Amino acid sequence: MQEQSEIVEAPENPTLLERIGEAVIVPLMLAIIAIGFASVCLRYVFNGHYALFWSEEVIRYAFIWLFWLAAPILVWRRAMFTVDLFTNMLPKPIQRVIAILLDLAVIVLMGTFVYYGWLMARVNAPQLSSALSLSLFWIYLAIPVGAALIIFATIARMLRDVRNGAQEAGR
Amino acid sequence: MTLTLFGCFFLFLLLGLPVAFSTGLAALVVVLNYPIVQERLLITKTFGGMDSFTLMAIPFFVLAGEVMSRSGLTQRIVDLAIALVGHFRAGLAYVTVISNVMMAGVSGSASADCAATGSILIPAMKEQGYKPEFAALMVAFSAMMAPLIPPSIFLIIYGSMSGVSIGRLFLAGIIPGLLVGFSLLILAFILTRFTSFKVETVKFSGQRLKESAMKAGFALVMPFVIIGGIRFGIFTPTEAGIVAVVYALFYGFVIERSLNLKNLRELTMSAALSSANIMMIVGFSAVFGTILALGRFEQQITSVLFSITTEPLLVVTILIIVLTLIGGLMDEVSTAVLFVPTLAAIGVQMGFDPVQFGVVMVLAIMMGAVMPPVGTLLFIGVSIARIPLSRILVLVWVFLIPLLLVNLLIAFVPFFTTYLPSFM
Amino acid sequence: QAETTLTLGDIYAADHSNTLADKRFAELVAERTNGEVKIEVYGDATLGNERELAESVVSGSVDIAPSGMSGIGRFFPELQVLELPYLYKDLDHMQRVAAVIAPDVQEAFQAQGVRNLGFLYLGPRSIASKKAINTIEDMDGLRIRVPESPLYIGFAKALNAVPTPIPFPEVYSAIETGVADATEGEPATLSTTKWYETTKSVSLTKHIWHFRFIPVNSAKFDALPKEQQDVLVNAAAEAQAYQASLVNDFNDKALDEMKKAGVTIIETQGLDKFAARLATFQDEFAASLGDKAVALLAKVRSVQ
Ligand code: NA
Ligand code: NA
Repeated sequence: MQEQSEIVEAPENPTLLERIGEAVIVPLMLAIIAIGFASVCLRYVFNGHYALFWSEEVIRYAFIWLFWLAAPILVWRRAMFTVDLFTNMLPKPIQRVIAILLDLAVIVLMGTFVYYGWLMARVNAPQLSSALSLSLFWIYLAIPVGAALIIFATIARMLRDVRNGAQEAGR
Repeated sequence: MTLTLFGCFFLFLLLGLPVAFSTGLAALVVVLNYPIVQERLLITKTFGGMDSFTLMAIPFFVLAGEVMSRSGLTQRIVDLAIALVGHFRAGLAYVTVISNVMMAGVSGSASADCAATGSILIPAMKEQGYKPEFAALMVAFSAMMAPLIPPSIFLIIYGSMSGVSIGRLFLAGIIPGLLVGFSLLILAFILTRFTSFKVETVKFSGQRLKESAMKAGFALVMPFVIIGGIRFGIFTPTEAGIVAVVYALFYGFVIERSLNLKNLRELTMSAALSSANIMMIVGFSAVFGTILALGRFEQQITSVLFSITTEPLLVVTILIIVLTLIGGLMDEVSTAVLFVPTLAAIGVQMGFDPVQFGVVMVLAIMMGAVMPPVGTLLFIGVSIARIPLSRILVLVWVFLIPLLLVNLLIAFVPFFTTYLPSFM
Repeated sequence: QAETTLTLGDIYAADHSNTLADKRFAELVAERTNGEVKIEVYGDATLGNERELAESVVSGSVDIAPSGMSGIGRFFPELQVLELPYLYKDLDHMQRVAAVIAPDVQEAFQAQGVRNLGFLYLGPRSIASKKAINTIEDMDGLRIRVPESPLYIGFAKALNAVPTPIPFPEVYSAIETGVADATEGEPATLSTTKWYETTKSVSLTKHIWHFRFIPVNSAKFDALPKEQQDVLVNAAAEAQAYQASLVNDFNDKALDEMKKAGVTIIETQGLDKFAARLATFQDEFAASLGDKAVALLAKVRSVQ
């Protein structure tokens, strides 16, 4: 009976996926902060001569990638905002069936996002970003990649739950 | 179409599907049933919903808040609050309010504040003989100041969804935030008249006040850096988030010397995950706006609303009550993302000051966080107090009264929200 | 009862000349197809911002969406030269250019599966600033808010100003507090955003006129019977002429409103100096976009 608080606790034994995710996400976030801070400072030195005109765009796009790479980890840890107050009042077997159905629903939804996300990444390949003239393909790619990783995390978690369930039954 | 959308959303939500996926899946059901909305639009809007520089202030302020808390700020603030009001009867109740006022100026997130101050103050209050349900609610409701007193994640979301200046919303939130705190002080004063606890009077000491103020001082400069920086045109609100992070790191590494690189890695990761949690909801539900527009939702709602009354103050009262009730069934982020564009348009139509209306709506949306059965802050409060949710279900209504009154006050009297922005 | 419903999305408010043109277009189409084709107009960016709308037209999730360089133009980099500063003399000149370049635009659009139904006109953009821009010297070191694109950044830099990208909703506060000294836009934008409240002066630098196109998704268009396609094309041409007839009046009205609000309107002197300074930038910018852009620029310049 709890909604997740906004503070996401790190597990004691992170999986390989989590460790790889962290190895990408942490440097990315620190780089974003460095660029943003440099951008604010540069506006005030040398009469703004070296002011960065691309920092806003880079920060936005870097965060889009960061969010889609972080989402699979949230899914794996069951840490996404969830309202499970009502289902928790149901009997355990029904809860399990619902959980499986919901996981399948997530796979269908994310499957749609992988397929159409890839399609839209290609549609947007000729579209160039305003500041750096970067093809938006590279930014849109975050959606199919993130969605695929979410499917992967969902399946891995379902397998883990089945295994844990079998262990409980064996005891 | 609109009905399908909301029906499916609530169904999936109550079945226990994560909020972000509930919005995405409800939109997919609409896509599959109404040719006017296509799968490709889901992608365009999900991308577009996240593609906003103003929203990027959220991860910055989340990280800044977490770094400050981990650096030991919460304890410093609590110590200072004890030195200030600890000597009164029911001092700890006041300490809770005062600590949260100060926390609100540093952090943008109510649930983070609730967890941070609650973990120190709820056990302390229980120790002194306060009823655990009172302690849990005192902390949960005090945390409500976080989204009003800048920085504020919800004012950022409101501004970016409605086009209202976040700089102005930040200034406008200060007085209402303090009013919430003041109303809670009065409530605590009244409620504790009839309660008995261990008399463990902390003697007031000027020396102690001075020392704790010195120790908390560096942290309490931060809100002034943020507000001052925006007010005097040194940076925009998103950039203020970046500056806040750098300031927080300076505080943790140089002043308190309580952080190491491992902490930095954990805090950065945690802030990334927390903000991804919010931004996934923002992204997936962005398509709701388009579906609602295609279904002419705004016209439908306004015609229903205006058939009841066209008196602006009555309309805003109805909106506050409806939002609070909706908030009892769903989380605040999706309430905000789903309804802000429509609400902002109604506010303009009714002739409200957009900044005032924004603050009123944000408080109404946030009331969902302390509204049973689904209230994020209630959950955090009771889990720290180690009591079942059912134990607060009576007392919570008493706490909701002053909050509702404050919201009506700022809705009816523009002064409280328009006075500070007029100095920009 | 309509047999075909097409969605049209735009970003402007109901009383903007572009939205009025959208509505006129929808009316004409409904009238001339006896209601068989209905165009539903969604303004105020309710279906998305210009970039999202452009993407939606290309991918087919919205049928028609007028937009300019920050929208459909993103798919055709070479068309950016059409927005270069000091390229057009006035609205009449712009209309002559539109007629000449229409086939080039149509050809470019085909590559992305869209079709251009017509042109809308916006401009001339001018500068709202705290300090009056009397001559080109006043641009020196001016921290001016411009859209975050190389064209606008280059424009500001060529005039020795400091380009300062700020998100649209924050422009008002940013100028009020001093993050930027100035901002720019067409008269209607300067007026409706109330940016002038913070600057108190608007200087008529008239630096940029620009086009908006009326792209329709080709698959949707081609699926219509020939007669209905003709109706759409002709109705768009009439809406285009109608919008053009509104531009100058609307600009005067916007300037009058600002004057009434106490804004000083400054007739900036020596606009030829501005144009001369930007001539090199025009060439460099076109060259950076490739041969097609250079050729298109030459074509525009050849129109008298
Ligand atoms: Na706050
Ligand atoms: Na809630």
